[in-house]
Amino acid sequence: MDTLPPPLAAASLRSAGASNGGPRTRGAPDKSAEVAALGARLVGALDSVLAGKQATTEIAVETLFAGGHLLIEDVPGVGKTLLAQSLARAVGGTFGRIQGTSDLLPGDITGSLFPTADGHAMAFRRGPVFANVVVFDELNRATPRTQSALLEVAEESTVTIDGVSHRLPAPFMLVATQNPIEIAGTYGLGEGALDRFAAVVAPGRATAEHELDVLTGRRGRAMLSALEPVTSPEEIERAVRWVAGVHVTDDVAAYVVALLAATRDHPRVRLGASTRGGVALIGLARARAARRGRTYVVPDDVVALAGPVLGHRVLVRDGTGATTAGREVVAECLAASPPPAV
Amino acid sequence: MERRRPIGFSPGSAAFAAAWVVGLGIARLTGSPAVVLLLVAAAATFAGSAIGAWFRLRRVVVDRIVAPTVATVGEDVPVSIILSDRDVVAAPVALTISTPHGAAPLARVDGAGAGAVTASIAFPAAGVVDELVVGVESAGAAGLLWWRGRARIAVEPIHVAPVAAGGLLPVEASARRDLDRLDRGHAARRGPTLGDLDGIRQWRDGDPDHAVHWPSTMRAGELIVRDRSVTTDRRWIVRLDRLRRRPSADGAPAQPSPAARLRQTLEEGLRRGHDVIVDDGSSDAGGRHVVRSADDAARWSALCAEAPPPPGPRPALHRRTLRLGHGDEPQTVSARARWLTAGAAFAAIGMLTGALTAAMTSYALAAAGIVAGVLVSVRYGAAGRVRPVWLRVVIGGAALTALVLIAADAQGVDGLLRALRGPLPDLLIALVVIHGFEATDRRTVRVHLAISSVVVAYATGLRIDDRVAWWLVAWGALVVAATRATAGTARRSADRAGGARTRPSAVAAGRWKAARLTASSAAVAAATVAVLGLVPIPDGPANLGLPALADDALAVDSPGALAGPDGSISRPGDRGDGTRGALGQVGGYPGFSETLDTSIRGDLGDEVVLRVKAPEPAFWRGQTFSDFDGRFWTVSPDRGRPQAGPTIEVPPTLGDDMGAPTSRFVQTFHVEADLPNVVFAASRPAVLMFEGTVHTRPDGALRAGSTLGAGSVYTVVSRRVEVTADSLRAQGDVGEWFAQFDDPQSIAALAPYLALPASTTERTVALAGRLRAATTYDTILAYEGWLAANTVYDIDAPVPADGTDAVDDYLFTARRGFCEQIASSLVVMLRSQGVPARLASGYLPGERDRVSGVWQVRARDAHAWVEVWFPGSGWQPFDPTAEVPLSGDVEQGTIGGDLVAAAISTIAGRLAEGAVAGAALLVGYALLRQALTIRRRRARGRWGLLQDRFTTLGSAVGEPAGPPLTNPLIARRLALAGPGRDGGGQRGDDVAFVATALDRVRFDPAWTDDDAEYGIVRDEIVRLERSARA
Repeated sequence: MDTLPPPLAAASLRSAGASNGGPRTRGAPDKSAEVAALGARLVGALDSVLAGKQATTEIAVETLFAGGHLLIEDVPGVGKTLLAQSLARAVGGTFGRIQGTSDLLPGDITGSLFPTADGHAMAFRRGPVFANVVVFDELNRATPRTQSALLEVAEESTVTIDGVSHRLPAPFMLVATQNPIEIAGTYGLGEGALDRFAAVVAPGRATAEHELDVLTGRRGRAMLSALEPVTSPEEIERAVRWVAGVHVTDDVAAYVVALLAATRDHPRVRLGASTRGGVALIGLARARAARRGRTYVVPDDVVALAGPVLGHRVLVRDGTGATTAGREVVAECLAASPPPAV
Repeated sequence: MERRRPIGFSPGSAAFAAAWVVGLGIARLTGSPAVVLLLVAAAATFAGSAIGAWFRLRRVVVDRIVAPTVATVGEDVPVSIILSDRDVVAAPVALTISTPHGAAPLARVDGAGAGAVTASIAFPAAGVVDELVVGVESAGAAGLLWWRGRARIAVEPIHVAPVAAGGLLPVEASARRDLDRLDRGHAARRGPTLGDLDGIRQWRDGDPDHAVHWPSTMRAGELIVRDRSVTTDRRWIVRLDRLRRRPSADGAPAQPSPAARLRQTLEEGLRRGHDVIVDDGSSDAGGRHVVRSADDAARWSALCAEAPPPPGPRPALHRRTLRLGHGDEPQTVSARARWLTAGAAFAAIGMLTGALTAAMTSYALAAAGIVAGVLVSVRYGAAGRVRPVWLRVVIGGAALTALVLIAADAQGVDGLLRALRGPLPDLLIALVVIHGFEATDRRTVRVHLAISSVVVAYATGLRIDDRVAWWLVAWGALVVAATRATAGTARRSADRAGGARTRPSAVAAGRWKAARLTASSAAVAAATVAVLGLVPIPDGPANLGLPALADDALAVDSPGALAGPDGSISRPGDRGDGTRGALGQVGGYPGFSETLDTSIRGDLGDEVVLRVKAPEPAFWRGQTFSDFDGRFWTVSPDRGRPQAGPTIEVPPTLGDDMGAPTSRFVQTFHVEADLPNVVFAASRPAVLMFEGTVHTRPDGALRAGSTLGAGSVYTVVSRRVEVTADSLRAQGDVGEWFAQFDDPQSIAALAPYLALPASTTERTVALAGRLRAATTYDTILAYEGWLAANTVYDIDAPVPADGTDAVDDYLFTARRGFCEQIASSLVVMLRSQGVPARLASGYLPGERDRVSGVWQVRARDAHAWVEVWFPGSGWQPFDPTAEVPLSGDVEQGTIGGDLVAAAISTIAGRLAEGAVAGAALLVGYALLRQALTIRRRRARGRWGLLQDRFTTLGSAVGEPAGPPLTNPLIARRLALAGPGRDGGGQRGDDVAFVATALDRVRFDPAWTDDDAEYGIVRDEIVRLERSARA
C-alpha cells in the first residue's frame, strides 16, 4: 500500500515547496523560461493532434499547471475525448479512463475492498482514478451518487475507503467531458460537483480547413498514437510548484474579488461565484503568467480566464444546464468592472 | 390603467409658483424694475430647465430589461434596465418600473449608474408579467418640472407566484389517502401491509423513521429509506377548476388566494415525493400536466393568478388631480444643498436688512440663526432621525420669543405702508430663520428657497441703493446652485471609485457638460434680456418707501420760511456777503434761498444728495423765482398755506390745469444728505405724501415745516403736461397771443413774469428782438442756439462789477457764465418779447441706476433753468445748458433696453479695468489648471501618465460593450488596427513591449524604475499617438 498518512503527506509537500522555492528566488529567469518552454511543448503537442483548438489547449495546459481539473463541455464530435486523451499522453505518466454510464458505482472509480486470496482479510484494489491523468468520459451519464464519489478525489486528491485514505499520484488531473445538449438519461452536475472543476472549456466546432486536416488524417485521432510524451510527471510537478509561487499583487486579487462580487450582484444570477472560484481563477492566472514566461500576474490573465473559470460557477436563473449563460453573465461583469492599471 | 401624465411637478414647486405670484404683486406694488428682472430671470431659468429636461428625456432609450423568470409576490427581485446611451443617465433623470396594470411604480432609480441601472422591485400581484413599463422622468437642472416618457418593454415572461401560505387544496382522494398513510406511518396502512422492497432512495420529508435502511445509510452517510413498490396511486392530482370558486365577499385579506393555495399544494406534493399533476379540467389527454419542480409550481400558480382581479374601488377623483406629479421623489437632500440654501437665505436677509439699514447685530443674529438651522436640519434631516425634545422646545421657544418681540414692536403701528416697512420685514426674517430649522427634505428646502425669493423681491422693492444688482447676482447664483443641488441625487460613487484608471471619456464628458452648461446659461440670459426688452419700465408707485422724516430734522421756527440745511432762516432780501465758493454744506446751493445771487455758484461736490425712484428723468424743482433786479432773483413773498401730511393735495397754481393732456408721474425721494426744507418735486406736484407740514406756495414751490435731514423719504405724484416740440410750436407766438389777451385778472397775475429789471440794456432787447422767430418755441431754440454759439459755460466766470446788469455783462462782455446767468439771460430776453418766464432752481435728474431704476442726484446736479408760460400747457421748463427731454418726448423705455444700455456703458466705462480683470481671471485659470496638472502628475507618476495616454489610444479601438481594456488587449488591437500593417510584426512587438512595461510597473514585484525603459516606452507611445492622428 503506497498511501501516505495525511499528516506526513502535508509535511513533505511543505518541505518540497520550501526547497524548490517560487519564482522569487534567485535564478528565476532560467526557471521561468523553463516553465514557459514546458508549456509551449505541451501546447504544441496537443496542437499536433487537435486541429485549430489552440485557445482550448492553452487553458488545458494552464489547468494542468494550476493543479486543477478540467471539464470539457460541448456537442458530440468536436474532440472532447481526444483532447483529454492527448493531454494524458503528452504528460506521460499513468493514464486512467472511465466511461460514464448509469450503472457505474463509486467503487468502480475509486476502487474497493476485495477479499484476499486467503479469504480472511480485505485488500484495497485501486480503481482507475489512481493515475496522473484521469479521463472521465460522459461524466453526466453517471448517477449523482457516482459523481459524488469524485468530490473527494477532485478536491483532496485522496480516496478514503474503509477509513483509510489513499493518496493519488502527483500530479493528478481529472479531465471530464459532458454533452450539455443531450440530457435524456443524464444527471446534471450539481453546483458542488461543478465547483470542483477549475475550468470549463467548450472547444467548439473546427473550421473548414481544420476539418479537412482531420478528415485527411493529418490531425485528429490518427495522430494520437504518434503522440509521444513531451514531459514527465516529475517535471509537471515542479512546474506546478513553480506556478504556485507566481506573484499576485493585492490589486489583481482585489480585482478578482470585485469580479466575484459582481457575479453575486448580477440580476440574472441565482447563485454567484464561490470563493473557491476566485482561488481557481488566481491559480489559473498564475499558470497563464508562468506559461508566458512571466513571474507575476497581470489583469489581462484574469480577464482572459474569467469566463472559463467562473462561467460554470454562476447559477443563472433561467439557464438550461449549459454553462454558456454563466459565461455571458461573467462577460457582462467583466465589462462592468474596470481592471487595475498603473 | 393610470392615465398618462406627461408632466409632473416636484414637491415644493408650488412654493416657487406662489413666490413668483407674490413677486408679481410686489412688482405691481413697487414698480421696481429689479423685481421685474428677477421675475423674468426666474421664468427664463425655469423654462430653460424644462426645455433641457425635455431634450434629456429624448436621449434616454431603453435597450432591454433583464429580469428573473420566477418571482414571488412581495419579494424583492433585481431587475436591470440596459440603456442604449451610456452617458445620459445623470441626475436628475429617474427611471421607474411598473407593470402595465399597476398604478404605482414598483421601483424608482434616480440617475444612478451608467448604461445599466439595477433596481429592486417587488411585484404586488401574482400573474405572468411579460412586459414592464419603464417610465423615464427627467427634470432640468432646477428639478422642478418633470417630463415623463413611458415605454412598454417586452421581457421574458416573469412568473409571479403568490406567497405560499394558507391551507392546501383538496386533492384527489387517493392522494389524500397516500398522504394520510405517510403521516400516520405504515402501521395504519391498509391493503398489503408492506410492499415488496423495490430498492432504496434518499430520505424525503415525511418518510417514517422505520423505513430507514440503516446499512445503506451507514454506507452513504446520509439517510436512505427503503423504497417500496406502492400499490396505491402515487399521483397527486390537482384540479384547476376547483380554484374557480367565488371570491370571498368581503375581500378579507386573511383568506389566502386560490393561487397561493395551489402553489402550496403543488409544493407539498413535490416535497412528499408524489407525481404531481395539474389537471386543467379539459377532457382530452393534454389536460394533465406534470409538475416537476418548485419553479413549475410557481409558474402554475402564477398562471392561475393571472385571471383578472376583481375590480377594486376606484381612487377618488380629487386625489388624482391633487396628487403632485412627482410625489415619490426621494426626499433627502445633501448637506451641500442645505448649505447653499442657507447661503441664499442669508443673502436674502442681508438684502432686506440692508434696505432697512439695520445694525450689524441683526446681520450677526440672522447669520447665527441660519447656521444653527442648517446644523440642526442636516443633523436631524436624515430619515429616521428624531429631534430630541429639548431641541424642539428650544426652537419653539426661540420662534415664539421672536414673534412676541415683533408683535410688541409692532404696537402702535397703523396703516399698511407702515407695516410694510416695520414689522413685516422682521416677521419675514424671523420666518426664514425659523423655517431654516425645518428645511430637512426636498419639499421644505424648496419652500425655503421660495420664501427667500419672496424676501428678495420684497427687499428689491425696498432698496434704493445701487448695489441691488450685485446682491441679486450673488443671491441668484446661490439659488441656482442650491436648486441644482436639491434636484440632484447623491453623486455616483463609481466616478470616484474608478480612480485607478482615468477614463478619457469622462474627461471629454466633463468638457461637454461644461460647454452645455455655459451655452444654456447664455441662452437663459439672452432669453431674459429679450423678454425684458418687451417689458416697459413700470411707472407704478415708485417705491414701498414710507413718508418719513429723519430723526435729526430741524423744525423751522417761522412757518413757511425757508431754512438752510443747518436750520438757519433765509430772509427775503438777505443777499449774503457776495462772496462765492464753497458754502460749507452739501445742499447749500444758493438757489435754495429766498434770494438768488446770479453771480454765485459755489463748489458743490460729488456727494449723493437724493435718490429718486422714478420711471423717467425730470427736473426735480425746488423753487421758482419771479422778481429779478438785474443781479438778484427773489421769490414771491406769498408763503401759501400750510397743509398737514401724510397725504397732501397740492392746490393748483397759476398755469396749472390748462386743459392739456397730463400723465401721472410718481417719484419717491430718498434724502441722502441734509437738505434745506425745500420739497423737491417734478412739475407739477398734485399729491404729496409727506410726514409733517408743508406750505404749498402759489408759485408752485413746496416748503416743509422742518429741514429734510438725511434719511427723509417722501413721495410725490405729479401731473405732467405731455408736451412735444410740435404741440409747443402749435401754440404760436406767446407774445403776440398775450398782446391780444384781454382778461385783466390773468394779465395782472402774469404781470410779474413780464417785468424787466430796470438795468436791462437796449442791446439785450435788441438781440432778443433780432433772434425772435415765428413761434415762441422756435424763438427759445434760437436763443439757446445763440447762447451756445456765442458764450461759454464756465463755472469760474468773473463776478460782474457792482451796479452792472448781470445779463448784459454775461451776453456781451464776459461771455462766460454758468447756469444761473445763462438762465437769467434767457428769461430777460423772453420777457423783453412779451413772453412770461421765470427762473426755477432744483436738481437735474442725475444718473440712473438701471437695475433698481433709481436716479442718483449729486450735489453738483443743483441747477437753475427757465420756465416759460405757454397759453395751452402752462409753465414749461427749458434749459439752455442741460439736456432734459420734453415730457411728451420721452420714449417709453424697456427694462431690457435699459439693462443692455447699462451693460454697454459699464463695459465701455471700465474697459481697462475689465480687460485687467479678464486677464487676471485667465491667468488665474491657467495657473489653477497648471497646479491641478502638476498635482495629477504627482499623484499619477510618470508611468501613470503614460498609462493614461496608452489607455486613450486603446479606447479608440475599444468596443463599447466588449471586454475591459487591459494593456495586452490594447496592444493586440493596436497591432491589428495600425496603419503599418506592412511592418506589422515589428510594430506589434513594440506595442507589446509597451504593454508589458506598463503592466510590470504595477504588477511585477521585481520592477525597478529605469529611465532608458521609460524613454523607449514614451517614444513608442508618442509614435502611436502620431500615427493615430494621421
